[in-house]
Amino acid sequence: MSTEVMAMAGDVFLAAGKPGGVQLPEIETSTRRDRLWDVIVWDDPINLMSYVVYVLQKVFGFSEQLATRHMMEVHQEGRSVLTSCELEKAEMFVSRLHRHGLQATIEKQAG
Amino acid sequence: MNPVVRQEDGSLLLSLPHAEGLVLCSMPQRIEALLSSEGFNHRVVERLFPIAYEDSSREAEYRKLLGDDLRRSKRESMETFKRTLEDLEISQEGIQILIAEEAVGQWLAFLNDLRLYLGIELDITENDWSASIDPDEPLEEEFALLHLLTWLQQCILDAIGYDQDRFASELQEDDPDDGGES
Repeated sequence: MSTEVMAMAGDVFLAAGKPGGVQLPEIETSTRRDRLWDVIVWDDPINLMSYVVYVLQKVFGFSEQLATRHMMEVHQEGRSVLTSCELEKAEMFVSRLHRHGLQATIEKQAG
Repeated sequence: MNPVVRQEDGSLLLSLPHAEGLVLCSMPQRIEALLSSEGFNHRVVERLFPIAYEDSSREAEYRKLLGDDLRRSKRESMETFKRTLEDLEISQEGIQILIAEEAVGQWLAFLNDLRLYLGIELDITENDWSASIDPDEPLEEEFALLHLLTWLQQCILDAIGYDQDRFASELQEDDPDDGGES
């Protein structure tokens, strides 16, 4: 890739993150959404907070801070979206959460 | 003092009084008897093998694909738990159990399944269940067992660096009336 092309790609990348920046074509956005599924963990009165943090770190490789944030969201809001990914990956994550006794479901990402 | 001590090789040494140790040893037989009994509580199955999808056709597909893996994983956790107990040491002071580092995850998962089973049997639906003990009322056997297993699971988590008090204090900054379950 030439320096010029790299610079253009960088401009597009930077502009896309700003208000009024480059818009992705509508069709691409919707295709991407169709492929994404949310992995959701639900509140449970039995699972210990420390155990939930342990499992989230083990299954997703989250930092302790991020795992704790999700655990607290579950505790306070009743649920937390842990990740959004392709269906096959989402099923793998949910299966691993079930193995550890967490209640988790998969939902097609809204939108 | 934590009865679970992490060794240099990553294994955990669990030292329990005789009574608690023997209760622990009886758990796999108890679960096996439960699974083979006719009066089995199907809510326990629903909790230990929860749904992944609201949509029933997707759920059926998911079960076909990953249902056996989940059953196998639960069975393996119980077998690991049983094998560890086969090598326990009994002395005058109590019972010592050595949990290999690679078995710690399965121990935690099996203890958690036992707690989930007891939670369903006791119809626990509130997060603050552990704070609702009335000292004047005798404890139901299952409730006492749930407390024992909760304490043991937390001791293991403490030993590997997941101190419940640390997480509880973060929550209590937001809600001073909060308990310790998620």
